[in-house]
Amino acid sequence: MIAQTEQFTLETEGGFSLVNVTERVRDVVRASGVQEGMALVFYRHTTGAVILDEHEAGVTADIEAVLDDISPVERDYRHHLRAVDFNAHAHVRTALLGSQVVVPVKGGDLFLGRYQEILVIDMQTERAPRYVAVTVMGE
Amino acid sequence: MIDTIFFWQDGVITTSIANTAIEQLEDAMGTTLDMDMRLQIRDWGLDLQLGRLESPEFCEKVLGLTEAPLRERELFERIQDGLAPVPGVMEVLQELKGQYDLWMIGLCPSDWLTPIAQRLDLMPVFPGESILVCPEAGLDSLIPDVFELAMQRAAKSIGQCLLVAPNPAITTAAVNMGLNAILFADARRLRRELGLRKLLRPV
Repeated sequence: MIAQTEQFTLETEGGFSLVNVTERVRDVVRASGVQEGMALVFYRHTTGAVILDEHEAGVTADIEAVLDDISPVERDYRHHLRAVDFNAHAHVRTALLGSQVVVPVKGGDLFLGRYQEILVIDMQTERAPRYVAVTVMGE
Repeated sequence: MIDTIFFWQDGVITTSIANTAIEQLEDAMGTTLDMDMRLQIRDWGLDLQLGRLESPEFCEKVLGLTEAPLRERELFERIQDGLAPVPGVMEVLQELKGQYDLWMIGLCPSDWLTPIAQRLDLMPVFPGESILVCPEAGLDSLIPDVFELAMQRAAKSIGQCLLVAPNPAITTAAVNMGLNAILFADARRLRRELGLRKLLRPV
């Protein structure tokens, strides 16, 4: 069995930056040589998420609007009492969306549905390098 | 019914000025710029889009920041020559030409935009005045002002227009004001999105 982890870096604007990483993950899977197995895509931060969804302008706008309703940027968050940073909305949204997805690998490629894309959402308030780890396991 | 399509230049039709500059600097220096420098160059790229910086000033600032072994004119020419078409998009534009009113939202100063438009033979695709030169438009902010400017210039209602842009921040702002938008990732996905809207033959 092969188990291999690679990492790539994203340079996003923060706020609500959505990046389609499908092709980058696909490259990692192909380079691994795994034909049948699975790929774990993991966001190594507490202020962002990985989702599987359609990469479409309306969907993106809808996700952002719903998250604004559920966990608005401006609110009396307890996290802010530490006065270290003021990004509680990003932490809460991360908890709701999750930090990883697992995609089957079949025939040496991602076995995604027709409209499924692997999307990273960076919700941090400031710009910084963001790291995405991809673990490919299988044979 | 959609009859007018606006294409964002940076990242849809061509590579962006900022990313092209970064690529050329890294090539000249033989090393990778650190992230702070890349982000700063991209910020200046935004200033270029709004006409707050002109191309010589941009080159001067970038060279001052990176201390790359280039003269301003050399960097200017490297950027001019280095601006590249996004793979597959010209073919899509050729298929759309004649069927729809096509506009390009140009995001770099004319001294870079005109040569790239000539080199890629964009004039027949975007004839007459249908290349908007944002740095010369006197916009206070790019988003959402550029959408209104584009619709005014095209003299079309919002329901007739579709925007193709590479950044979710742009498309979300467009969608929120009621404009149809396609979030561009690559030519294959662009074809699919246009096909789903019945603007091109479905893929």
